[in-house]
Amino acid sequence: MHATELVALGAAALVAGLLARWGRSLRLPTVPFFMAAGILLGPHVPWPGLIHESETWEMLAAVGIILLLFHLGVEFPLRQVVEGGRKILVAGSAYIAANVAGGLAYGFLLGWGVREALVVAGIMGISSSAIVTKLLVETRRLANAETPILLGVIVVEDIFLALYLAVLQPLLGSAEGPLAIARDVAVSFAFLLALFVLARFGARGVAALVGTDDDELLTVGFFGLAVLVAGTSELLGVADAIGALMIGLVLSQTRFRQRIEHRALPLRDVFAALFFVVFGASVDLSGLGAVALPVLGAVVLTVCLNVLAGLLVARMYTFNQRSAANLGLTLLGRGEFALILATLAATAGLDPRVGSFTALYVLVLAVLSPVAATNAHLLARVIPDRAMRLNWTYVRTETMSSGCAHLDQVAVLEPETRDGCPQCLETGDRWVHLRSCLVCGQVGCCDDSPNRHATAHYRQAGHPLVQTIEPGEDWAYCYDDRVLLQGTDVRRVQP
Amino acid sequence: MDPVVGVVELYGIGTRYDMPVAGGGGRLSVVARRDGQRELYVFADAGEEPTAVVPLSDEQSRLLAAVLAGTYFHTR
Repeated sequence: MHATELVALGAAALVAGLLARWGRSLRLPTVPFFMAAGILLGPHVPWPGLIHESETWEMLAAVGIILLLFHLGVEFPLRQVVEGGRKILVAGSAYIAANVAGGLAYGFLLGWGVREALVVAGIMGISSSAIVTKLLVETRRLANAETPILLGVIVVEDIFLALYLAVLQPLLGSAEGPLAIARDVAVSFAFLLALFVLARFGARGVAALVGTDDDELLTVGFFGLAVLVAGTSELLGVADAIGALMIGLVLSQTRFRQRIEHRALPLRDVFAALFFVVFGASVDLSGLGAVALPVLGAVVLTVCLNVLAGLLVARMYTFNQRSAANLGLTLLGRGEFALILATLAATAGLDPRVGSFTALYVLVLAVLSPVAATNAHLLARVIPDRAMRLNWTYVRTETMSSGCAHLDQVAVLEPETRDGCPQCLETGDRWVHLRSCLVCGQVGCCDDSPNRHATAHYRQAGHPLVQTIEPGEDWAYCYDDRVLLQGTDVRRVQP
Repeated sequence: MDPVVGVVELYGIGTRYDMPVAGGGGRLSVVARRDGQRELYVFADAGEEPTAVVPLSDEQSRLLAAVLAGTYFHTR
């Protein structure tokens, strides 16, 4: 008995790895191939399967979920989000609002039930961080203006996921009546809040518990802590995934963050792959036909909502069509979160069609999303200028768009003077380079100059944009967004 | 700091440093990944597609930095 399970486990991992390797050579994400391995080795195929439903496999899958979310928590950029997050919060919320609302409406339209609709909303609403990040690296788009926004949206989606799970788990649970459910939701949020407070203020204490300079003991320690907290939260009626995510967040605030992140990665890779395999094995192939049409509708809806949200965010940031298309077509990938939600649904005994739906939906989008992202420029060509911004024409040479949301303040391109820094001339000081304010035209000296009059003008007048007026240079800078702009970006929106 | 180098946070990946280079909107971007790997994006003009993307290990980056800064001395 023991031996057959070991054979199955080894074969599952090996087949999953080989299939995904083939997929990688086609530039496709790994998740659908791990799932395919599960389907092939599972109990629902005509030939004898290796993987059967058992507590062992369930346990392995649960550890996979825990490590997935734990790692997500550890690498969560809490400090950066707290510092500069307002803008990405807005962009991220726009995305999530569009996709989750659309998914919720679609879930009700399917008519599978209220709880099923809530799960479908999350499945359709949250994209896969892993797939999107890999896609951005592979399409060589890390230097693009819209890329930080895309990554920001993913971060906001992670936050949303935690809150959403906190609400969803009690709703799927056994509690009867609105009062009992409300109590469970309150417990969930209290737990979430407690761990968040721990992350913000008590990280040191936790660090003392698992933190050591010995790599081996650190790994054993954080693994134990992650699984323990996840299990405890499950006992309290809060999803184990949340517990794992939040304890990861707590550890990300300690000085051991980098080492934990590094050591947790290979663990996560193995167990997450097994989770995907186990999920694949649970997919009933005969049920896929019945959900084909709903999945088709969901895919079309997801593409439309993403493009719409992309346009919206692009307008917000005064991006060009190229960036708008990238924003709309890069976040299509669905993966780990969708499968986690489908697993929750299965555990809660919801309509089994949710599982088949999710499997097919993830498979289709996993293949579609890299194709869509690499061909986004085709969409860019057909987005009309007036969809982007009033009195604004798209430069057909397709210059980069900028990451600055203040370009509408550009009013004065010609500096008041080119003879020198007026304030320095008055006091007889020296300056190195000259900048001119794009809002009022005032000229000041750069930050290498002793008086830094350009920056002083920004502090005083609040005009965020300056341009260089040095001969041979052609760039501008936004103090608020801390981004460097091409001269062409500025002239494109000239008054 | 004089705003000639733009610094952008790439959540989950690392930090990006943007620098314009002379003429025609050409620019360089360095993506410093959290695992130490760097990627050098070269744009010869103001276009959208990078002319070249060069992956550099931690060690290679330091070496290149030394060469560029003129502090690399070859000894036989």
